[in-house]
Amino acid sequence: MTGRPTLVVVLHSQCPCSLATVSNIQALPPAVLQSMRIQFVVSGPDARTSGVVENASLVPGATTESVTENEALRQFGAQTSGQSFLYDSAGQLVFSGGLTDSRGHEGPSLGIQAILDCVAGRPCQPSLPVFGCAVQTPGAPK
Amino acid sequence: MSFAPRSQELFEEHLTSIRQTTSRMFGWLMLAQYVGAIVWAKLATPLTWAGTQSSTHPHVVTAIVLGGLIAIPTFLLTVFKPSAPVTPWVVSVCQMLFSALLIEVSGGRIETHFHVFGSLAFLAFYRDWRLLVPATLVVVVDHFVRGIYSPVTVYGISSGAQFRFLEHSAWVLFEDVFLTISCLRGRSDMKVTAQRQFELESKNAELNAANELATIANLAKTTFLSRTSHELRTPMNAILGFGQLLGMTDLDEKQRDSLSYIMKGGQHLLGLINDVLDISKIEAGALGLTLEPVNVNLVLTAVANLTKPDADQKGVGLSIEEEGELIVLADRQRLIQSIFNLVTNSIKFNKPGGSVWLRCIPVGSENVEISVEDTGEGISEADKAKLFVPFERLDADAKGIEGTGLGLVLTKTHLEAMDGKIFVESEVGKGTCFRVLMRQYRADDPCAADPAA
Repeated sequence: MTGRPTLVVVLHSQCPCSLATVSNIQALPPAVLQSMRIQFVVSGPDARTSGVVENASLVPGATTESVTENEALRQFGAQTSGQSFLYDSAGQLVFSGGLTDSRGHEGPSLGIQAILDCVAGRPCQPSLPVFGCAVQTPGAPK
Repeated sequence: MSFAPRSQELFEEHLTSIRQTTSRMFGWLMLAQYVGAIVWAKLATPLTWAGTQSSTHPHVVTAIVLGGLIAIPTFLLTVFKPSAPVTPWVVSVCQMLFSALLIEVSGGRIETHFHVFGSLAFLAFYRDWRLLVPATLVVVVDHFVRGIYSPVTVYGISSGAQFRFLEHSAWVLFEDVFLTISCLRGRSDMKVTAQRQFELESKNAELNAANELATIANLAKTTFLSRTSHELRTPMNAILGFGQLLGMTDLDEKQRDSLSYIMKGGQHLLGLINDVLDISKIEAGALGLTLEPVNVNLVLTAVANLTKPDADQKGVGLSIEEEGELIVLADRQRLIQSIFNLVTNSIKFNKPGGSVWLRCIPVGSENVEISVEDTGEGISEADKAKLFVPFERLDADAKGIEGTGLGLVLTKTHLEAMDGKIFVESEVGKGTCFRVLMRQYRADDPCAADPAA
Protein backbone atom coordinates (compact mmCIF):
# COMPACT_ATOMS: atom_id res chain seq x y z
CA MET A 1 0.00 0.00 0.00
CA THR A 2 2.38 2.65 -1.17
CA GLY A 3 2.21 5.39 -3.78
CA ARG A 4 -1.47 6.17 -3.73
CA PRO A 5 -4.06 6.29 -1.03
CA THR A 6 -6.26 3.20 -0.88
CA LEU A 7 -9.95 3.12 -0.14
CA VAL A 8 -11.32 -0.21 1.05
CA VAL A 9 -15.08 -0.47 1.15
CA VAL A 10 -16.75 -3.42 2.82
CA LEU A 11 -20.19 -4.20 1.41
CA HIS A 12 -22.94 -6.67 2.08
CA SER A 13 -24.11 -8.13 -1.19
CA GLN A 14 -27.83 -7.84 -0.36
CA CYS A 15 -27.95 -4.66 1.69
CA PRO A 16 -29.83 -1.83 -0.09
CA CYS A 17 -27.57 0.65 1.69
CA SER A 18 -24.59 -0.79 -0.17
CA LEU A 19 -25.89 0.63 -3.44
CA ALA A 20 -26.02 4.14 -1.95
CA THR A 21 -22.42 3.80 -0.82
CA VAL A 22 -21.30 2.67 -4.29
CA SER A 23 -23.25 5.54 -5.90
CA ASN A 24 -21.60 8.07 -3.63
CA ILE A 25 -18.16 6.76 -4.60
CA GLN A 26 -19.13 6.83 -8.30
CA ALA A 27 -20.06 10.47 -7.87
CA LEU A 28 -16.59 11.48 -6.66
CA PRO A 29 -14.70 13.78 -9.03
CA PRO A 30 -12.68 11.79 -11.65
CA ALA A 31 -9.42 13.33 -10.42
CA VAL A 32 -10.11 12.02 -6.92
CA LEU A 33 -11.08 8.59 -8.25
CA GLN A 34 -7.85 8.41 -10.24
CA SER A 35 -5.78 9.56 -7.30
CA MET A 36 -6.52 6.51 -5.19
CA ARG A 37 -6.98 2.80 -5.43
CA ILE A 38 -10.44 1.55 -4.62
CA GLN A 39 -11.19 -1.93 -3.47
CA PHE A 40 -14.66 -3.26 -2.76
CA VAL A 41 -14.76 -6.20 -0.42
CA VAL A 42 -18.11 -7.94 -0.79
CA SER A 43 -19.50 -10.55 1.57
CA GLY A 44 -22.90 -12.15 1.97
CA PRO A 45 -25.09 -14.34 -0.24
CA ASP A 46 -24.32 -14.29 -3.97
CA ALA A 47 -21.31 -12.11 -3.28
CA ARG A 48 -19.99 -12.64 -6.82
CA THR A 49 -23.14 -12.01 -8.78
CA SER A 50 -25.27 -9.56 -6.85
CA GLY A 51 -26.34 -6.12 -8.08
CA VAL A 52 -23.96 -4.58 -5.56
CA VAL A 53 -20.99 -6.29 -7.20
CA GLU A 54 -22.26 -5.30 -10.63
CA ASN A 55 -22.52 -1.66 -9.60
CA ALA A 56 -19.15 -1.69 -7.85
CA SER A 57 -17.47 -2.95 -11.00
CA LEU A 58 -18.64 0.17 -12.80
CA VAL A 59 -16.53 2.46 -10.63
CA PRO A 60 -13.49 3.44 -12.73
CA GLY A 61 -10.30 1.69 -11.59
CA ALA A 62 -11.97 -0.17 -8.75
CA THR A 63 -11.38 -3.80 -7.98
CA THR A 64 -13.88 -6.10 -6.38
CA GLU A 65 -13.13 -9.01 -4.13
CA SER A 66 -15.58 -11.52 -2.75
CA VAL A 67 -14.83 -12.69 0.75
CA THR A 68 -16.55 -14.55 3.50
CA GLU A 69 -17.98 -12.58 6.36
CA ASN A 70 -15.27 -13.88 8.63
CA GLU A 71 -12.57 -12.70 6.25
CA ALA A 72 -14.14 -9.25 6.10
CA LEU A 73 -14.27 -9.16 9.85
CA ARG A 74 -10.81 -10.58 10.32
CA GLN A 75 -9.03 -8.48 7.72
CA PHE A 76 -10.67 -5.13 8.34
CA GLY A 77 -12.65 -5.41 11.52
CA ALA A 78 -15.72 -4.44 9.53
CA GLN A 79 -19.01 -4.92 11.34
CA THR A 80 -21.39 -3.08 9.06
CA SER A 81 -21.96 -2.96 5.33
CA GLY A 82 -20.74 0.31 3.88
CA GLN A 83 -17.84 0.63 6.30
CA SER A 84 -14.97 2.25 4.45
CA PHE A 85 -11.29 2.51 5.31
CA LEU A 86 -9.00 5.07 3.74
CA TYR A 87 -5.27 4.45 4.01
CA ASP A 88 -2.86 7.16 3.02
CA SER A 89 0.06 6.54 0.66
CA ALA A 90 2.12 5.44 3.66
CA GLY A 91 -0.42 2.81 4.57
CA GLN A 92 -1.74 4.63 7.60
CA LEU A 93 -5.47 4.43 8.32
CA VAL A 94 -6.72 8.01 8.09
CA PHE A 95 -10.45 7.47 7.92
CA SER A 96 -12.91 4.79 9.00
CA GLY A 97 -16.68 5.08 8.67
CA GLY A 98 -19.72 5.22 6.44
CA LEU A 99 -20.00 7.21 3.24
CA THR A 100 -23.74 7.88 3.58
CA ASP A 101 -25.40 10.07 6.17
CA SER A 102 -28.10 7.56 6.88
CA ARG A 103 -29.54 4.28 5.70
CA GLY A 104 -29.53 4.14 1.92
CA HIS A 105 -29.17 7.90 1.45
CA GLU A 106 -27.26 8.88 -1.62
CA GLY A 107 -25.80 12.34 -2.01
CA PRO A 108 -23.34 14.59 -0.21
CA SER A 109 -22.34 13.20 3.14
CA LEU A 110 -19.86 13.72 5.92
CA GLY A 111 -18.08 10.49 4.89
CA ILE A 112 -17.57 11.62 1.30
CA GLN A 113 -16.35 14.99 2.56
CA ALA A 114 -13.87 13.21 4.84
CA ILE A 115 -12.52 11.22 1.85
CA LEU A 116 -12.15 14.40 -0.21
CA ASP A 117 -10.37 16.17 2.63
CA CYS A 118 -8.05 13.26 3.39
CA VAL A 119 -7.08 12.74 -0.26
CA ALA A 120 -6.44 16.47 -0.65
CA GLY A 121 -4.23 16.46 2.40
CA ARG A 122 -6.56 18.60 4.45
CA PRO A 123 -7.48 17.80 8.04
CA CYS A 124 -10.26 15.24 7.86
CA GLN A 125 -12.77 13.54 10.10
CA PRO A 126 -11.08 10.31 11.21
CA SER A 127 -14.24 8.31 11.89
CA LEU A 128 -17.97 8.41 11.28
CA PRO A 129 -20.94 6.14 11.98
CA VAL A 130 -21.89 3.53 9.41
CA PHE A 131 -25.47 2.87 8.28
CA GLY A 132 -26.11 -0.54 6.81
CA CYS A 133 -26.71 -4.21 7.41
CA ALA A 134 -24.54 -6.27 9.74
CA VAL A 135 -21.76 -8.12 7.99
CA GLN A 136 -21.64 -10.90 10.56
CA THR A 137 -24.32 -13.54 10.86
CA PRO A 138 -25.53 -13.62 14.49
CA GLY A 139 -24.18 -16.62 16.31
CA ALA A 140 -21.81 -17.59 13.54
CA PRO A 141 -18.33 -18.72 14.61
CA LYS A 142 -15.75 -15.98 14.21
CA MET B 1 -73.44 42.31 10.84
CA SER B 2 -76.25 41.10 13.13
CA PHE B 3 -76.38 37.33 12.95
CA ALA B 4 -79.88 35.94 13.29
CA PRO B 5 -80.39 32.57 15.03
CA ARG B 6 -81.50 31.06 11.73
CA SER B 7 -78.32 32.37 10.07
CA GLN B 8 -76.29 30.74 12.83
CA GLU B 9 -78.21 27.52 12.24
CA LEU B 10 -77.47 27.64 8.50
CA PHE B 11 -73.82 28.39 9.22
CA GLU B 12 -73.59 25.41 11.58
CA GLU B 13 -75.28 23.19 9.00
CA HIS B 14 -72.73 24.23 6.43
CA LEU B 15 -69.86 23.60 8.84
CA THR B 16 -71.23 20.16 9.67
CA SER B 17 -71.50 19.37 5.98
CA ILE B 18 -67.89 20.47 5.44
CA ARG B 19 -66.76 18.48 8.46
CA GLN B 20 -68.51 15.39 7.13
CA THR B 21 -67.12 15.69 3.59
CA THR B 22 -63.58 16.51 4.72
CA SER B 23 -63.51 13.73 7.32
CA ARG B 24 -64.58 11.20 4.71
CA MET B 25 -61.85 12.40 2.37
CA PHE B 26 -59.30 12.07 5.17
CA GLY B 27 -60.59 8.56 5.90
CA TRP B 28 -59.84 7.41 2.38
CA LEU B 29 -56.55 9.29 2.43
CA MET B 30 -55.62 7.39 5.59
CA LEU B 31 -56.24 4.09 3.87
CA ALA B 32 -54.27 5.20 0.80
CA GLN B 33 -51.39 6.35 3.00
CA TYR B 34 -51.43 3.08 4.90
CA VAL B 35 -51.25 1.01 1.73
CA GLY B 36 -48.70 3.41 0.23
CA ALA B 37 -46.44 3.19 3.30
CA ILE B 38 -46.47 -0.60 3.24
CA VAL B 39 -45.78 -0.75 -0.52
CA TRP B 40 -43.02 1.81 -0.22
CA ALA B 41 -41.36 -0.01 2.67
CA LYS B 42 -41.64 -3.35 0.89
CA LEU B 43 -40.12 -1.96 -2.29
CA ALA B 44 -37.40 0.23 -0.80
CA THR B 45 -36.28 -1.81 2.21
CA PRO B 46 -37.87 -5.25 2.11
CA LEU B 47 -35.18 -7.03 4.11
CA THR B 48 -32.44 -6.29 6.54
CA TRP B 49 -29.37 -8.47 6.47
CA ALA B 50 -26.91 -9.71 9.07
CA GLY B 51 -24.31 -11.76 7.31
CA THR B 52 -26.15 -14.54 5.55
CA GLN B 53 -29.36 -14.10 7.45
CA SER B 54 -32.13 -11.81 6.38
CA SER B 55 -35.28 -10.69 8.12
CA THR B 56 -38.12 -8.31 7.41
CA HIS B 57 -36.88 -4.78 7.57
CA PRO B 58 -38.09 -2.78 10.58
CA HIS B 59 -39.56 -0.20 8.17
CA VAL B 60 -41.97 -2.80 6.81
CA VAL B 61 -43.03 -3.81 10.30
CA THR B 62 -43.44 -0.16 11.28
CA ALA B 63 -45.54 0.55 8.21
CA ILE B 64 -47.81 -2.42 8.82
CA VAL B 65 -48.20 -2.25 12.60
CA LEU B 66 -47.87 1.42 13.51
CA GLY B 67 -49.50 2.49 10.23
CA GLY B 68 -52.45 0.20 10.95
CA LEU B 69 -52.79 1.48 14.49
CA ILE B 70 -53.01 5.03 13.20
CA ALA B 71 -54.93 4.56 9.96
CA ILE B 72 -57.57 1.92 10.65
CA PRO B 73 -59.27 3.48 13.72
CA THR B 74 -59.19 6.87 12.01
CA PHE B 75 -60.71 5.42 8.86
CA LEU B 76 -63.48 3.72 10.85
CA LEU B 77 -64.19 6.93 12.75
CA THR B 78 -64.49 8.95 9.53
CA VAL B 79 -66.79 6.32 8.02
CA PHE B 80 -69.13 5.89 10.98
CA LYS B 81 -68.88 9.30 12.68
CA PRO B 82 -67.86 11.72 9.91
CA SER B 83 -69.76 14.67 11.36
CA ALA B 84 -68.98 14.06 15.03
CA PRO B 85 -67.21 17.09 16.55
CA VAL B 86 -64.36 14.89 17.82
CA THR B 87 -63.56 13.41 14.39
CA PRO B 88 -61.59 16.38 12.98
CA TRP B 89 -59.43 16.48 16.10
CA VAL B 90 -58.61 12.80 15.82
CA VAL B 91 -57.95 13.25 12.10
CA SER B 92 -55.70 16.22 12.82
CA VAL B 93 -53.51 14.28 15.28
CA CYS B 94 -53.47 11.02 13.31
CA GLN B 95 -52.69 12.65 10.00
CA MET B 96 -49.60 14.26 11.48
CA LEU B 97 -48.65 11.00 13.20
CA PHE B 98 -48.81 9.44 9.78
CA SER B 99 -46.50 12.13 8.48
CA ALA B 100 -44.06 11.16 11.22
CA LEU B 101 -44.43 7.50 10.30
CA LEU B 102 -43.78 8.15 6.61
CA ILE B 103 -40.68 10.16 7.49
CA GLU B 104 -39.49 7.27 9.64
CA VAL B 105 -40.25 4.66 6.97
CA SER B 106 -38.44 6.70 4.34
CA GLY B 107 -35.34 6.80 6.54
CA GLY B 108 -35.72 10.48 7.36
CA ARG B 109 -35.81 11.68 3.77
CA ILE B 110 -36.21 15.44 3.74
CA GLU B 111 -38.54 15.15 0.72
CA THR B 112 -41.00 13.20 2.87
CA HIS B 113 -41.34 16.24 5.13
CA PHE B 114 -43.48 17.80 2.40
CA HIS B 115 -46.17 15.43 3.61
CA VAL B 116 -46.40 17.57 6.74
CA PHE B 117 -47.12 20.72 4.74
CA GLY B 118 -49.61 18.98 2.47
CA SER B 119 -51.42 17.53 5.48
CA LEU B 120 -51.68 20.91 7.20
CA ALA B 121 -53.12 22.45 4.04
CA PHE B 122 -55.62 19.61 3.78
CA LEU B 123 -56.63 20.12 7.42
CA ALA B 124 -57.51 23.71 6.51
CA PHE B 125 -60.37 22.23 4.46
CA TYR B 126 -62.21 22.00 7.79
CA ARG B 127 -62.15 25.82 7.96
CA ASP B 128 -61.19 25.55 11.62
CA TRP B 129 -57.81 27.03 12.49
CA ARG B 130 -57.88 25.38 15.93
CA LEU B 131 -57.24 22.00 14.29
CA LEU B 132 -53.84 23.26 13.22
CA VAL B 133 -52.80 23.52 16.88
CA PRO B 134 -52.66 19.80 17.77
CA ALA B 135 -51.31 19.02 14.31
CA THR B 136 -48.46 21.48 14.76
CA LEU B 137 -47.79 20.22 18.28
CA VAL B 138 -47.45 16.66 16.99
CA VAL B 139 -44.94 17.81 14.38
CA VAL B 140 -42.92 19.89 16.82
CA VAL B 141 -42.84 17.25 19.57
CA ASP B 142 -41.99 14.49 17.08
CA HIS B 143 -39.15 16.48 15.57
CA PHE B 144 -37.88 17.52 18.98
CA VAL B 145 -37.91 14.06 20.56
CA ARG B 146 -36.60 12.18 17.56
CA GLY B 147 -34.10 14.96 16.89
CA ILE B 148 -32.57 14.20 20.25
CA TYR B 149 -32.91 10.44 20.46
CA SER B 150 -32.97 9.27 16.86
CA PRO B 151 -32.14 12.12 14.48
CA VAL B 152 -31.39 9.80 11.60
CA THR B 153 -35.05 8.69 11.52
CA VAL B 154 -36.37 12.22 11.12
CA TYR B 155 -33.60 14.18 9.41
CA GLY B 156 -31.68 11.37 7.72
CA ILE B 157 -28.46 12.24 9.52
CA SER B 158 -27.12 11.00 12.76
CA SER B 159 -25.63 14.08 14.28
CA GLY B 160 -26.02 17.78 14.65
CA ALA B 161 -29.79 17.55 14.53
CA GLN B 162 -30.75 18.47 18.06
CA PHE B 163 -31.90 21.96 17.14
CA ARG B 164 -33.17 21.35 13.64
CA PHE B 165 -36.65 20.95 15.10
CA LEU B 166 -36.61 24.72 15.60
CA GLU B 167 -36.08 25.34 11.89
CA HIS B 168 -38.66 22.77 10.88
CA SER B 169 -41.16 24.08 13.42
CA ALA B 170 -40.65 27.62 12.19
CA TRP B 171 -41.57 26.59 8.64
CA VAL B 172 -44.62 24.77 9.92
CA LEU B 173 -45.68 27.88 11.85
CA PHE B 174 -45.05 29.94 8.73
CA GLU B 175 -47.58 27.81 6.88
CA ASP B 176 -49.94 27.85 9.87
CA VAL B 177 -50.17 31.63 9.68
CA PHE B 178 -51.52 31.56 6.13
CA LEU B 179 -53.75 28.60 6.74
CA THR B 180 -55.22 30.32 9.79
CA ILE B 181 -55.97 33.43 7.73
CA SER B 182 -57.50 31.22 5.06
CA CYS B 183 -59.69 29.43 7.63
CA LEU B 184 -60.87 32.69 9.17
CA ARG B 185 -61.72 34.17 5.78
CA GLY B 186 -63.48 30.97 4.79
CA ARG B 187 -65.64 31.12 7.90
CA SER B 188 -66.36 34.76 7.32
CA ASP B 189 -67.52 33.99 3.76
CA MET B 190 -69.64 31.16 5.07
CA LYS B 191 -71.30 33.51 7.53
CA VAL B 192 -72.11 35.96 4.77
CA THR B 193 -73.57 33.13 2.71
CA ALA B 194 -75.63 31.94 5.68
CA GLN B 195 -76.93 35.46 6.28
CA ARG B 196 -77.89 35.83 2.61
CA GLN B 197 -79.58 32.46 2.59
CA PHE B 198 -81.52 33.44 5.69
CA GLU B 199 -82.59 36.69 4.04
CA LEU B 200 -83.64 34.80 0.95
CA GLU B 201 -85.65 32.37 3.03
CA SER B 202 -87.31 35.28 4.84
CA LYS B 203 -88.18 36.98 1.56
CA ASN B 204 -89.56 33.75 0.18
CA ALA B 205 -91.70 33.29 3.26
CA GLU B 206 -92.99 36.85 2.93
CA LEU B 207 -93.73 36.33 -0.75
CA ASN B 208 -95.52 33.06 -0.05
CA ALA B 209 -97.62 34.73 2.64
CA ALA B 210 -98.42 37.64 0.33
CA ASN B 211 -99.28 35.25 -2.47
CA GLU B 212 -101.56 33.30 -0.16
CA LEU B 213 -103.29 36.51 0.91
CA ALA B 214 -103.65 37.59 -2.70
CA THR B 215 -105.14 34.22 -3.63
CA ILE B 216 -107.63 34.47 -0.77
CA ALA B 217 -108.48 38.05 -1.73
CA ASN B 218 -108.91 37.07 -5.37
CA LEU B 219 -111.16 34.20 -4.41
CA ALA B 220 -113.21 36.54 -2.25
CA LYS B 221 -113.44 39.00 -5.14
CA THR B 222 -114.51 36.25 -7.52
CA THR B 223 -117.12 34.99 -5.09
CA PHE B 224 -118.36 38.53 -4.54
CA LEU B 225 -118.57 39.23 -8.28
CA SER B 226 -120.33 35.97 -8.93
CA ARG B 227 -122.92 36.56 -6.21
CA THR B 228 -123.37 40.22 -7.06
CA SER B 229 -123.80 39.44 -10.74
CA HIS B 230 -126.48 36.89 -9.92
CA GLU B 231 -128.24 39.39 -7.68
CA LEU B 232 -128.04 42.10 -10.36
CA ARG B 233 -129.21 39.88 -13.20
CA THR B 234 -132.50 38.93 -11.55
CA PRO B 235 -133.83 42.52 -11.16
CA MET B 236 -132.32 43.41 -14.54
CA ASN B 237 -134.28 40.61 -16.20
CA ALA B 238 -137.37 41.92 -14.44
CA ILE B 239 -136.72 45.44 -15.72
CA LEU B 240 -136.21 44.22 -19.29
CA GLY B 241 -139.18 41.84 -19.14
CA PHE B 242 -141.55 44.44 -17.85
CA GLY B 243 -140.07 46.95 -20.29
CA GLN B 244 -140.98 44.59 -23.15
CA LEU B 245 -144.48 44.20 -21.73
CA LEU B 246 -144.72 47.96 -21.44
CA GLY B 247 -143.70 48.24 -25.09
CA MET B 248 -146.74 46.20 -26.07
CA THR B 249 -149.10 48.76 -24.57
CA ASP B 250 -150.29 51.98 -26.13
CA LEU B 251 -147.57 54.50 -25.58
CA ASP B 252 -147.18 57.88 -27.15
CA GLU B 253 -144.03 58.69 -29.06
CA LYS B 254 -142.28 60.38 -26.16
CA GLN B 255 -143.01 57.47 -23.83
CA ARG B 256 -141.80 54.97 -26.47
CA ASP B 257 -138.54 56.94 -26.85
CA SER B 258 -138.02 56.88 -23.09
CA LEU B 259 -138.75 53.16 -22.99
CA SER B 260 -136.21 52.51 -25.75
CA TYR B 261 -133.53 54.22 -23.61
CA ILE B 262 -134.49 52.03 -20.65
CA MET B 263 -134.38 48.88 -22.81
CA LYS B 264 -131.08 49.80 -24.46
CA GLY B 265 -129.41 50.68 -21.15
CA GLY B 266 -130.82 47.58 -19.52
CA GLN B 267 -129.56 45.27 -22.28
CA HIS B 268 -126.11 46.82 -22.09
CA LEU B 269 -126.07 46.36 -18.35
CA LEU B 270 -127.28 42.77 -18.67
CA GLY B 271 -124.50 42.01 -21.19
CA LEU B 272 -121.95 43.47 -18.79
CA ILE B 273 -123.32 41.44 -15.90
CA ASN B 274 -123.23 38.28 -17.99
CA ASP B 275 -119.60 38.90 -19.00
CA VAL B 276 -118.54 39.60 -15.42
CA LEU B 277 -120.33 36.45 -14.32
CA ASP B 278 -118.48 34.46 -16.97
CA ILE B 279 -115.13 35.89 -15.90
CA SER B 280 -115.94 35.03 -12.30
CA LYS B 281 -116.77 31.49 -13.26
CA ILE B 282 -113.55 31.15 -15.23
CA GLU B 283 -111.45 32.49 -12.35
CA ALA B 284 -113.25 30.19 -9.94
CA GLY B 285 -112.62 27.27 -12.29
CA ALA B 286 -116.36 26.73 -12.52
CA LEU B 287 -116.82 27.26 -16.22
CA GLY B 288 -119.05 24.38 -17.27
CA LEU B 289 -118.75 23.20 -20.87
CA THR B 290 -120.80 20.66 -22.72
CA LEU B 291 -118.82 19.42 -25.67
CA GLU B 292 -120.88 18.06 -28.54
CA PRO B 293 -120.81 17.96 -32.33
CA VAL B 294 -121.72 21.42 -33.55
CA ASN B 295 -122.56 22.36 -37.12
CA VAL B 296 -120.35 25.38 -37.86
CA ASN B 297 -122.50 26.47 -40.79
CA LEU B 298 -125.47 26.78 -38.47
CA VAL B 299 -123.37 28.68 -35.94
CA LEU B 300 -122.29 31.19 -38.56
CA THR B 301 -125.84 31.63 -39.78
CA ALA B 302 -127.08 32.15 -36.23
CA VAL B 303 -124.38 34.72 -35.53
CA ALA B 304 -125.06 36.50 -38.80
CA ASN B 305 -128.76 36.70 -37.96
CA LEU B 306 -128.02 38.06 -34.52
CA THR B 307 -125.59 40.72 -35.73
CA LYS B 308 -127.24 41.71 -39.02
CA PRO B 309 -129.37 44.48 -37.47
CA ASP B 310 -126.23 46.14 -36.05
CA ALA B 311 -124.36 45.66 -39.33
CA ASP B 312 -127.24 47.17 -41.30
CA GLN B 313 -127.47 50.05 -38.88
CA LYS B 314 -123.77 50.84 -39.40
CA GLY B 315 -123.89 50.19 -43.14
CA VAL B 316 -121.50 47.26 -42.95
CA GLY B 317 -121.92 44.36 -45.34
CA LEU B 318 -122.02 40.93 -43.70
CA SER B 319 -121.47 37.77 -45.73
CA ILE B 320 -120.82 34.08 -45.08
CA GLU B 321 -118.46 31.92 -47.15
CA GLU B 322 -118.53 28.17 -46.53
CA GLU B 323 -116.92 25.05 -47.96
CA GLY B 324 -119.43 22.32 -47.35
CA GLU B 325 -120.88 21.22 -44.06
CA LEU B 326 -118.35 21.27 -41.21
CA ILE B 327 -118.88 19.82 -37.77
CA VAL B 328 -116.65 20.62 -34.80
CA LEU B 329 -116.50 19.37 -31.26
CA ALA B 330 -117.52 22.33 -29.08
CA ASP B 331 -119.95 23.77 -26.56
CA ARG B 332 -122.61 25.14 -28.89
CA GLN B 333 -123.58 28.14 -26.76
CA ARG B 334 -119.96 29.13 -26.02
CA LEU B 335 -118.95 28.79 -29.66
CA ILE B 336 -121.85 31.00 -30.77
CA GLN B 337 -120.91 33.50 -28.03
CA SER B 338 -117.25 33.51 -29.12
CA ILE B 339 -117.97 34.02 -32.82
CA PHE B 340 -120.64 36.56 -31.93
CA ASN B 341 -118.05 38.57 -29.96
CA LEU B 342 -115.66 38.55 -32.90
CA VAL B 343 -118.33 39.61 -35.42
CA THR B 344 -119.69 42.29 -33.09
CA ASN B 345 -116.19 43.75 -32.77
CA SER B 346 -115.69 43.62 -36.54
CA ILE B 347 -118.86 45.62 -37.01
CA LYS B 348 -118.21 48.04 -34.15
CA PHE B 349 -114.69 48.85 -35.28
CA ASN B 350 -115.57 48.96 -38.97
CA LYS B 351 -116.38 51.99 -41.04
CA PRO B 352 -119.65 52.65 -42.86
CA GLY B 353 -119.56 50.88 -46.22
CA GLY B 354 -117.08 48.34 -44.88
CA SER B 355 -117.42 44.57 -44.98
CA VAL B 356 -117.28 41.61 -42.64
CA TRP B 357 -116.75 38.06 -43.90
CA LEU B 358 -117.52 34.94 -41.92
CA ARG B 359 -115.75 31.92 -43.34
CA CYS B 360 -115.31 28.30 -42.43
CA ILE B 361 -112.94 25.91 -44.17
CA PRO B 362 -111.51 22.50 -43.34
CA VAL B 363 -107.82 22.43 -42.39
CA GLY B 364 -106.54 18.96 -43.18
CA SER B 365 -108.70 16.17 -41.89
CA GLU B 366 -108.41 17.14 -38.24
CA ASN B 367 -109.35 20.78 -37.91
CA VAL B 368 -111.75 23.48 -39.03
CA GLU B 369 -110.86 27.13 -39.37
CA ILE B 370 -113.50 29.74 -38.67
CA SER B 371 -112.41 33.23 -39.62
CA VAL B 372 -113.93 36.67 -39.13
CA GLU B 373 -112.36 39.24 -41.43
CA ASP B 374 -113.20 42.89 -41.62
CA THR B 375 -112.18 46.03 -43.44
CA GLY B 376 -111.84 48.07 -40.25
CA GLU B 377 -109.02 50.29 -39.08
CA GLY B 378 -106.75 47.41 -38.17
CA ILE B 379 -104.72 46.91 -35.01
CA SER B 380 -101.13 47.98 -34.46
CA GLU B 381 -98.51 45.45 -33.29
CA ALA B 382 -98.35 47.15 -29.89
CA ASP B 383 -102.11 46.93 -29.44
CA LYS B 384 -102.23 43.28 -30.48
CA ALA B 385 -100.46 42.38 -27.24
CA LYS B 386 -103.25 44.05 -25.25
CA LEU B 387 -106.13 42.46 -27.12
CA PHE B 388 -106.76 39.67 -24.66
CA VAL B 389 -106.18 41.67 -21.46
CA PRO B 390 -109.34 42.04 -19.29
CA PHE B 391 -110.98 45.49 -19.42
CA GLU B 392 -108.41 46.67 -21.98
CA ARG B 393 -110.38 48.61 -24.56
CA LEU B 394 -107.54 50.13 -26.57
CA ASP B 395 -108.93 53.44 -27.86
CA ALA B 396 -112.58 52.34 -27.98
CA ASP B 397 -113.57 54.73 -25.20
CA ALA B 398 -112.15 57.69 -27.12
CA LYS B 399 -114.15 56.68 -30.17
CA GLY B 400 -117.36 56.30 -28.17
CA ILE B 401 -117.64 52.59 -28.96
CA GLU B 402 -119.60 50.68 -26.33
CA GLY B 403 -118.23 47.58 -24.65
CA THR B 404 -116.78 46.15 -21.45
CA GLY B 405 -113.35 45.05 -22.57
CA LEU B 406 -114.19 41.50 -21.61
CA GLY B 407 -115.42 40.09 -24.93
CA LEU B 408 -112.10 38.97 -26.41
CA VAL B 409 -110.89 37.69 -23.04
CA LEU B 410 -113.95 35.49 -22.76
CA THR B 411 -113.69 34.43 -26.39
CA LYS B 412 -110.09 33.29 -26.02
CA THR B 413 -110.76 31.55 -22.71
CA HIS B 414 -113.85 29.77 -24.04
CA LEU B 415 -112.12 28.65 -27.22
CA GLU B 416 -109.08 27.34 -25.38
CA ALA B 417 -111.35 25.53 -22.93
CA MET B 418 -112.88 23.82 -25.99
CA ASP B 419 -109.38 22.80 -27.17
CA GLY B 420 -109.43 25.55 -29.77
CA LYS B 421 -107.00 28.29 -30.64
CA ILE B 422 -107.36 31.87 -31.77
CA PHE B 423 -104.95 33.89 -33.92
CA VAL B 424 -105.12 37.47 -35.07
CA GLU B 425 -103.70 39.06 -38.21
CA SER B 426 -104.08 42.74 -38.79
CA GLU B 427 -102.76 45.60 -40.80
CA VAL B 428 -103.41 49.17 -39.76
CA GLY B 429 -105.70 50.88 -42.28
CA LYS B 430 -106.64 47.64 -44.04
CA GLY B 431 -108.46 45.47 -41.59
CA THR B 432 -108.25 42.57 -39.17
CA CYS B 433 -108.80 38.85 -39.45
CA PHE B 434 -109.41 36.60 -36.43
CA ARG B 435 -108.84 32.92 -37.15
CA VAL B 436 -110.28 30.28 -34.87
CA LEU B 437 -109.00 26.74 -35.15
CA MET B 438 -111.28 24.03 -33.78
CA ARG B 439 -110.99 20.27 -33.81
CA GLN B 440 -113.18 18.63 -36.39
CA TYR B 441 -115.75 16.21 -35.02
CA ARG B 442 -115.02 12.55 -35.70
CA ALA B 443 -117.44 9.70 -35.63
CA ASP B 444 -115.57 8.04 -32.77
CA ASP B 445 -115.86 11.11 -30.51
CA PRO B 446 -117.96 10.23 -27.47
CA CYS B 447 -120.84 12.60 -28.22
CA ALA B 448 -124.31 11.46 -28.94
CA ALA B 449 -126.03 14.70 -29.76
CA ASP B 450 -127.25 15.41 -33.26
CA PRO B 451 -124.94 17.96 -34.90
CA ALA B 452 -127.72 19.38 -36.97
CA ALA B 453 -129.90 20.10 -33.99
